[in-house]
Amino acid sequence: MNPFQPFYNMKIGVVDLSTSSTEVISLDQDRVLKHLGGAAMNCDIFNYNQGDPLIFGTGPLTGSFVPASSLMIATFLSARFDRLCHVPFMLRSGPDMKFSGIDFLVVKGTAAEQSILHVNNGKIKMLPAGNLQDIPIPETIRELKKVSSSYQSFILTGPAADRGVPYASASIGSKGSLDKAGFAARMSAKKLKGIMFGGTDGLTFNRDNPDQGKELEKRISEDKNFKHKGFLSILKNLEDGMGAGRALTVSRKKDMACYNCPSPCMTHVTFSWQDPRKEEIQKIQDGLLLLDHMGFAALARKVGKNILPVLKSCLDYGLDPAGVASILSEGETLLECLSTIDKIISANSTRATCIPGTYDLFGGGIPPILTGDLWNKRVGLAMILGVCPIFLLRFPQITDTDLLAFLSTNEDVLKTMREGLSSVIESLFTV
Amino acid sequence: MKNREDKIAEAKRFSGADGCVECGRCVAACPMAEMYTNFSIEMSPRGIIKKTLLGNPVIEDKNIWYCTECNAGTDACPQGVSCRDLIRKLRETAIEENLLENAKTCKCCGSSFVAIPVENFVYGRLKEEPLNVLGVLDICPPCRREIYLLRNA
Amino acid sequence: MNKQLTIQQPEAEREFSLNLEDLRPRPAEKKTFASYFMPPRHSFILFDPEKCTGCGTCEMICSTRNVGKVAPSSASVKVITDEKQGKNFAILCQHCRKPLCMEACPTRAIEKGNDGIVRISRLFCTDCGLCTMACPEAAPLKAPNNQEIHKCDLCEGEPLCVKYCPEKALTFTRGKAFRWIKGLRWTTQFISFLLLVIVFIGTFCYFKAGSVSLACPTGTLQNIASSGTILLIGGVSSALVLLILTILSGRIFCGWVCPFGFVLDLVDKITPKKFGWPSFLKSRMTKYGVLAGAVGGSYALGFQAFCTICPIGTLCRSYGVQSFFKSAELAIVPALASLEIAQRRSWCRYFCPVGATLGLTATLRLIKIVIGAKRCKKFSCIQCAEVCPVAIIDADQLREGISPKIPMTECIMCMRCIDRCPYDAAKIRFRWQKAVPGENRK
Repeated sequence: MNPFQPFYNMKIGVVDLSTSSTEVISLDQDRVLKHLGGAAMNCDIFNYNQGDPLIFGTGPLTGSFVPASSLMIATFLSARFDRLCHVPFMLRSGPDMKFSGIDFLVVKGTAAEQSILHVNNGKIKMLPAGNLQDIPIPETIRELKKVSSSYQSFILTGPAADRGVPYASASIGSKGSLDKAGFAARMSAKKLKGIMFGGTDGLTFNRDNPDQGKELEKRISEDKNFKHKGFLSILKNLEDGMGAGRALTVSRKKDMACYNCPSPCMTHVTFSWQDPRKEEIQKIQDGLLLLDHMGFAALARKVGKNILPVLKSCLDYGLDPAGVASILSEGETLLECLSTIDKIISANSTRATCIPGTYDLFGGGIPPILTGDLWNKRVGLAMILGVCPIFLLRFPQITDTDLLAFLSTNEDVLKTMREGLSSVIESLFTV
Repeated sequence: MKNREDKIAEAKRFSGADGCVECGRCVAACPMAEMYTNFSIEMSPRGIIKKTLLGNPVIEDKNIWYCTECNAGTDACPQGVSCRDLIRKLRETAIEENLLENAKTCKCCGSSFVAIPVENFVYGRLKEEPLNVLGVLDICPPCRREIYLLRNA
Repeated sequence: MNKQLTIQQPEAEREFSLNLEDLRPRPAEKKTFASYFMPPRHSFILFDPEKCTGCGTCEMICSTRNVGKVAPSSASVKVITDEKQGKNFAILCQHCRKPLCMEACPTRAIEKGNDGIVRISRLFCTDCGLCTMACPEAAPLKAPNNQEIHKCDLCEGEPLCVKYCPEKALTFTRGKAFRWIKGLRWTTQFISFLLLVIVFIGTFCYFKAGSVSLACPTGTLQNIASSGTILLIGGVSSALVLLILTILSGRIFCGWVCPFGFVLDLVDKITPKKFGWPSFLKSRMTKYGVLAGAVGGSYALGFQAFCTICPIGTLCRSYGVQSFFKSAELAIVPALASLEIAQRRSWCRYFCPVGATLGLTATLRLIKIVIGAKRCKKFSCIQCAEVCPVAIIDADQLREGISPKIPMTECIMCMRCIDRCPYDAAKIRFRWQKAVPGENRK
C-alpha cells in the first residue's frame, strides 16, 4: 500500500513549448517512494529532462490538513546564481496545482510566441499571450479574468521580465513572491508569460487528518510565536527589521493567511499617497499585501517612509524589491525612487544578465528566523513535504514525525519514511 | 473566422447530439416543465436537439433561451448527449452574432449571466418582495457576493 | 413522397391536470400557542469579518462533507477577498426566515425545517441554479467541475466550519430561546395597570404618600398654565421623577408603565391586519400641537383642559373595579383605543401630549438604540422594522447597508427590536458612543 496514494494525483504534466505539445502522464510510484516529493522529486525530474526545464512541484502534504500546507516548489537553473535553485510559492499555488489534476509540471523548450498555460481538470492548454506583453501585472490579471473568471491562482511575470531587466521576479497573482533567484528571467527566456490553475478538483487525503491538524494547532497555540501574528512579527528576525516596521504609516492593517494556515505572516495594508509624477494633487487610496519580508526590509532601509508606494511600483512591474533596493541610494525622494524604477523598466536592454549575489539554494527569500544548520534542516523538510517553510521555521517543535503521521500512522511505515526523509534532505544540499 | 454552420457542427460534435434516440428522458427530467405554463416541445431539450439535427433555423429561435442549464437532461440521457452543452454553444453563437435580446447582462460587470425567460420566472416567483430586494436580480452572482462583502465587512 | 423537414406543430398551450401543488404541496404554517411566547428556533452561523484571515480552512472541511474529498471549489462556503481594502468575507447561507431560494425553486426541492434549517433535497434538486439567482447573497454555490449546487445545511446542527476555523471567526447559534425582555415588559405593564388603575386610585395624575409625591408632567404644565403659579414643591418637583426617568432611559414610561399603552397593546393583539392612515394625518408633530393646545387651553379656560379627556387619566381615576364599567367618561378609552385598528400605537405616535412632553424631555436622553447594519442580515430578516410598534426603523436604509438613525424622541423603548434581533445587531448604547454593533472603530 502506497501511503502517498491519497495525497497525490500521481500525474505529471509535460509541456514542450517548442513543439506546443502538452500531455499529462502517470507518475512512477517507485520514484515517489524514493524521493517523496517537493524539491527532491523536482531535482530528479530536472536531471531526467534535457535543456534546462522549469519544474513546478508539490509535496505530498500540499493541500492537506497539515497547517500551512500551501507550498509549491519551483526548481530551475537560476539565472542569477547560475546554479540549481528551489523557490517556494505560497498562498494557494500548491493546492490549486494539485486540485487541477497534476502534481508536477515540467516546462521545456522555448515557445515561438508569448504563451500562457492553463491547467484545469487534468488537462493543460497552451494559449497565446501576445496581448499581455508589457502591461503591469494587475492589468494582466484583469485581462486573464475576462477569459476564465473562475481561475484563482496565477504565477505571472511582469513587464520587467518581458524586457529582460535585472531583478525581475515571478509573482503569485499581483502579490509578489519570494523569488529572488531570477525565475521570471527563465520564464521570459522561454516566452512563458505565466501559468493559471483552475483548482476545481480535489483529493481524499486521510480520514483522520482534520483532527490531526487541529491537534497540531492546539499544540502550537501556546507558543509566543503563535501569538505574535502578522507581517511585522516576522520582521523582528531581520536586521533592522523593526525599524522598517516602524516606518509604516498605514490607515488599516489586516492579517492574512495562506491556505490552511493558523498563524498568518502576511499583512494587508491600506495607505494613501500622492503620485509625484502626476500633476494633479490627488491622494490615492491603495492597498497592498505584504508577504516578502526580506524584500521589504531591504527596501525600507533605503527608502524609509516612502516604502509603500515604491513597493507597489515594484510589484506592479514584477521586480524584486531587494534587488531594486540595491540600485536605489539612501535618502532619495519618492519622485526620484519612482523615476529610477521607471527608467529601469523602460531600458531597452535585450536580455540583460542578472546581477549575481550570494548563492542560496532556496532562492534567497526565506527569512532567517532560525540560523545555521537548523535553518537548513527545517527549510529542507518544508520544501520536500510541501509545507510552508516560514511556518516550520517559526514552530520548530513540529517534528518530521508529526508531519509524516499525516501520511500514515503505522509505526513501521513511519520509521522507513523518517529514514528516507533524512537522507533525502541531506541529498538536497549535496547537489 | 468560423461561419454559423461550422459553429453549429462544432456544437453538435461537442455535445454528442447525433446520438439522440428521441426517448424523451431529458424532457422528463427537465425542470422547465414546472417553470413555464407555455412549456412546449419546441423549448424542450429533445425538441431543440431535433431541430438542430434537422438543420432548421435554431440560432434566432427564442426557444433556446428557456433552458436553465441545469444538466439534468444530460444525467438522464442513456446516450450521453449533453443538451446543456448544445444549448450553451447555440447561445454563444447567438451572442457572437449579436442576437442579444434574450440574454440579460449584469448591471455591474456587463457579463451575460442568465437568459431573460429564466429571469422572468424568478421575478414571477419573488414578486411580493420589496423593490430593493428584487434589484439583486439585475446583478450577476459574483458581483452580488462582492457587494455583500462591501456592505458587511 | 415529399418529406417535410419540419416537426409536428404542437399546441402552444398545454393544460396540466396535475401541477406541482398537487404533487408536492407546501406545508401550511401553523401558529401554535407556544409560538406566541417562544419563537421558532432560528439556527444560523454568525460570521465576524474582523477575525477572518482568508485561510480557506472552512472551504476545505466543508467540501469533505459535500463530496468526500478536499476540493475547496465544491464547498458550500466561499471566502472572497477585496484586494483593495483587504477585507475577507465568507459567503454562506443565512437560513433566512423567509427564504427566497425556496420561492424560486421550480421543483420545490428546498424546504425550511422546524429546526430552522433550509435544506435542498437531493432527490428533487436538478442543479438548475435558480436558487442562486434568487438569493441576494448568491449563497448556493455551483461547483465548477460537475456543476452541482452545494448549499450550507448547517451540517445538521454541528457545523464543521465553526469547529475548524483557526481564528474562531464563525460561531453557531440557535438564536434566542426565550425572549426575556418580552416577558418582563408584559409583566411590568400588567403590574403597573393593576397598581395605577385598580389598587391606587388616580395615581398617575397625582400620587401622594406622606412626603413622596408623583405627578404627571403634562398635568403639571396644564396646572401651571391654568393657575398661573408655579408650585415648586408639590408640582414641578413631583413631575421631575418621571422626567428624570425619561432622561435616563428614554420614553420607557410609554412602553413599560403607561396603563393606556397596556390597553393599546392588548387591543393590538386582537385586531386584524392594519389598513393604515392616509398620509396627511401621519405627522408626528401633531402631538406637540395637542400639547400646545392643552397648555394654551388650560391658560384660557382656567382649568386643566386636557386632563378631563385624557385617556390615561380617565383610566386611573376610575374608582375601583366596580365602577370600572360605570363611569360614562370611560367611553373615551375605547374610542381612542379604536385608533389602533388603523395603525399600532397611533395614539402614542400622533396625538398623546404626555408622550409629547416625554418626547421633548427625551432630547436630553442619555441612551439610544442602535442597529448595526453590518451585523444585520438585511435581506432575510428586517424583523426589527416589522415589529416596531411606532415604525421608526427605516427598513430601506437597512437594506442598503446603512445603520438607521433611530429617533429617540419617538421611540417608546419597548425594546421589541432588541429582543427579536437574532444577530445581536440591535443594542442600547450611550448617546456619545459612536461605534455601532459590527463595526470596530480603531
